[in-house]
Formats: sequence, structure tokens, C-alpha cells
Amino acid sequence: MKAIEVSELHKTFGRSRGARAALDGVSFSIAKGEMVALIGASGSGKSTLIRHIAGLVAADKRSGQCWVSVLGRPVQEGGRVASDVRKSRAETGVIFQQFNLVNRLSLLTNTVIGLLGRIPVWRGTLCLFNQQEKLVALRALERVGMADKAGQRASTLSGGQQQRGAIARCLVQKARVVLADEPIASLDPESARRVMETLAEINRTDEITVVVSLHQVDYAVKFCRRAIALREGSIVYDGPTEALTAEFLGELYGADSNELILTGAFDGPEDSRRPDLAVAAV
Amino acid sequence: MGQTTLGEDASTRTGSAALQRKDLKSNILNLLGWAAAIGVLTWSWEGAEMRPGDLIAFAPNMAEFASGFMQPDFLQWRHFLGEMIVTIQIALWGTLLAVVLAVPLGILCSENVVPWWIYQPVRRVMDAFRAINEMVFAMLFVVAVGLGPFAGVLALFVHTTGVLAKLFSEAVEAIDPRPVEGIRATGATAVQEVIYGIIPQVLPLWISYSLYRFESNVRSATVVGLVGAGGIGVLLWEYIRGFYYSETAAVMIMIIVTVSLLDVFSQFIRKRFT
Repeated sequence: MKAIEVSELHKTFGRSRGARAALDGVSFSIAKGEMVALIGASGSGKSTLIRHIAGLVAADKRSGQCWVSVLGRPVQEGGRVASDVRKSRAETGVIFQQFNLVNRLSLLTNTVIGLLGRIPVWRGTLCLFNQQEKLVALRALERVGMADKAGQRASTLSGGQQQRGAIARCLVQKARVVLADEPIASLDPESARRVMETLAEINRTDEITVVVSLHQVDYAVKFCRRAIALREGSIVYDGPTEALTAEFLGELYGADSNELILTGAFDGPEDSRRPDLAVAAV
Repeated sequence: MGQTTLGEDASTRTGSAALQRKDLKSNILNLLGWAAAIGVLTWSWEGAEMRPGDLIAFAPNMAEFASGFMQPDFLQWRHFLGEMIVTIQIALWGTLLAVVLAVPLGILCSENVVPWWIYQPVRRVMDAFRAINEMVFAMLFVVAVGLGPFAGVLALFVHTTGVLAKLFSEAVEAIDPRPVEGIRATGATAVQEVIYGIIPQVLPLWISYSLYRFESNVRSATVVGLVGAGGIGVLLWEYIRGFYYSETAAVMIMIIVTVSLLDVFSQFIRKRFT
């Protein structure tokens, strides 16, 4: 069983005749435990693809082999989201560019919300989380190095801290697959590295399958083995990240490759990378 | 050189001609607008039977009438106070029941939460609740449940539900959708999305709106008594009908003081939530 399978996905936004396809026949599969980078310029369909895998958007209605499944469970088929999509959503953690935490709730509450798909509906609806469940959330926050901020409102935290809170929510969810949509695009370089290291750590330790969309190719090369490159809604490359050199990106994207940042930030000596930074609490 | 000047002149001339045409057009439109406004006002003057002359003609009468109010009679202040408290109690329950019902109805009126075939009918019902004044509802409920404060509570409840459902749904329609999507992605149910994603975002506004409606319901509760729906309005109606001007004045002063105090109090609380 594959972690993620996507077959012949088409998506066009708007109905005007000239509307360009956001996704144009995308097919791929990802094995369990992989950490895959999804790269591409803005507007290439990365976010759209992730939202389709999470079952937040339905693809174009069309016949044929057009479906998405996560961990062997269908998420959508032929442009229709599965009726039991809540089950797949409960097993899929999603991390957003803008963190999408609820500002006025505490970080702990935001984290424990990850359990909503697993506890009885009436208990989740009445906000009755027991001591043990809160402890699970607190441990997850500990793992991402945010336990000391558990009582603070999400709005009082920095972007990087909120993003690590969002990762903790995925851990509480016991997600087997984590989809991260531009998780570091709104962060400063230091926070960005900590977030990517946290993602890499949960991939390594818990064997969680991680798909992370990025436009900073540096990070893709450093943290992921495999990259899927999208351009105008189609896959133009699927293979090892080592091949992603500046020349190759220029070949794939032409002028658009300026958007794909390859700065050589991680080319320094080995000891300057400090991969253990974010996961010191483990 | 000569050519260019000529060309510029020509274009200036056509330009100014166009401007004049535009001026003329807007002048005529302006004039028509004023004429229409004056027409409507004159028409309404007659409909409303405006007779400002009467204010002067009947000045002595009115002076006599007003002098009756000059000596407010607080002899029965305990009775007034008792009725004033009943008035506030009517407003309190009318508002509370409305808030409880307006929470789900407000969600069901929001176009970013439910499909059109839910929010359209619910909105129309809320429009109807709002369109009919509390006094009209009070008269109806006096017939239905009899004279007394309970009819007043029901009247305020129905009207306020309509108002609050609209205000609540406007707050919901202005939320940030991203946290809701974050909740949805965890496998939460639709109701859980509302509870964790929407309500925390709108709560401060909702509290503020509810307190504001409580203020205005205290004002409304002072008049539902006029049709027999309890509270200090009953007293007021009896005194006015019996020409007891001193007592009427005392009751009115009491209403003014109470309403002002509650306004200050509720404003103080509202400030703390927003």
C-alpha cells in the first residue's frame, strides 16, 4: 500500500473558456516513509495539488482514472470528495503557509484539536478533552520545543513558533501522512530551518510520510531525497533532489527559475548545519 | 509651428465644448434632483398634516400642561422602583432568550458556512422578525398569553432574535477562513469547525452586540407596558390617561436615570471585550 496515490488529476478554476488548468493530468505515487519536496514557481499548482490530496478541494468532474487515495483509502474520485473523507483527513496532517491556527485559542487548545477526528464526536463538540489527552498535546509541544508556550494565545507567538505548533497538532493527530504547503515561505531563515528540521525529524523517527511544497530549492536539496517539480500544472521532473542544479532548473523553468531560490545557504562546512537544533527536546 | 497651434486650438475648442455639454447635463440633472426632493417634502408635509402654527396658537395650553410636570411626585417611589426592576427583568430575559436562539440562527444565516438553500429561507424569517416592531409583537402576545410581563419578554425575544441573528451572521461572514480550514483538515465535523474555528473569532463582537441589544431592550421594555405587556410602561400609561402629570414626570425621570445608568454600565463592559 502506498502512502499517497494520485492519478490523472485535472483542475480548472473558473468556467471561462480561456481558463488555464491549475492541474493538468497529474499522476504520481509516494511510498510510506518518504519525504518528498514539491517544487515549482508560484502558480505552478503546488498548493492546489496539496489541497486536493487533503480532500479540501474536488478535482474537475471527469470520467476515467481520476482519483486520489491516501493510505489506501480513497479521498476523491472523478471529481467527487469521498463521503468518509473525515477518516482520511484524521490520518493526514496538513500544515499551511499561514499556519491556520485559531488566534484567540491557547497553543495547547490548538494542539489538542488534532484529536477531534479520533475522540467521540460529542466529546469533541463540547470541548471535553480529558487530562490524558491534554498530556498527549503537551508532549507533542515538548517534542517541537514549544511546551513552555502551551498556555499562550496563538496570536502572541511568532510565525516560526506557530508553525511548530501546527506540526505538534499533526503529531497529536497521529497523522501517518503530513502535507506541508509552503510551510516556511512566511518565515525568517532561522525559523525556516527549525521548521524543516522538525519535519525531517518526525519523518525519520515516526516514519511519517512528508510531502512539503517549497520554492526554496536549497531546502528541498538539503532535507528531501526526492523532488517532484511542477510547471503550469504538470509534472516536469520526478527524481532525486541532487539533480536540481541551477542549470537544470533553468532548463525546466526558463525565466521562471528566478523564483526558485537556490542560494547555496547550506553549502558551508558540515558543523554549521546543526541539524539537531529543533529537536533538542526529544 | 502654425499647424500645431492651430491643432491645439481646435482640440481645446472641442474639449471646452464637450465640457460645456457635460456641465449642462449635470446642471439639468442637479435641478431635477432638487425639484424631486422638494416635491417629495411638500407631498409629505400635507400627508403628515404639519401645522407649525398650532405650536404658537396653543402655547398657553402647552405651558399649563408643562407646568404640571414641574413638580414631579416621588411619593410612590417604591412602587415605581418595583416596576422599573420588572422592566429590566423583562429586558434581561428577552435578550437572553434571543441570544441563545440567535447563535445557531446567525450561523445558519451566514453564506460562508451554509449553502444558499439554508441561508436564504432562514434570512427571510429573520427579516420578518425584525420588520415587525416589538410593540406589535407585544400586542399579539398579550392576546396569546394574557396581560403581564411574560408577553413583554416574548415580544422582545422574537424581535431581538431577528436583529441579533443578522448582526451575528455579519460577524461570521467577516471571519478569516484559514483557521477553519485548519480545523477541517484534522477530520473535524462541520459543527466542530464552527465551535473551534468560527466562534472564537467572533465571540468578542457577539458579546458586544448582545450587550448593546440589552441596552436598547431596556428602552423598549419601558414602552411594551403601554399595550399591557408589563413593566413601568403600564404605570406610565395609567398616569398619562388619568392626567396625573406629577406622577408621570416622576416615572419619566426614573426611566431616564435607569436607562442612562445601564448604558454607562454596558458600555463599560463592552469596552472590556473589544
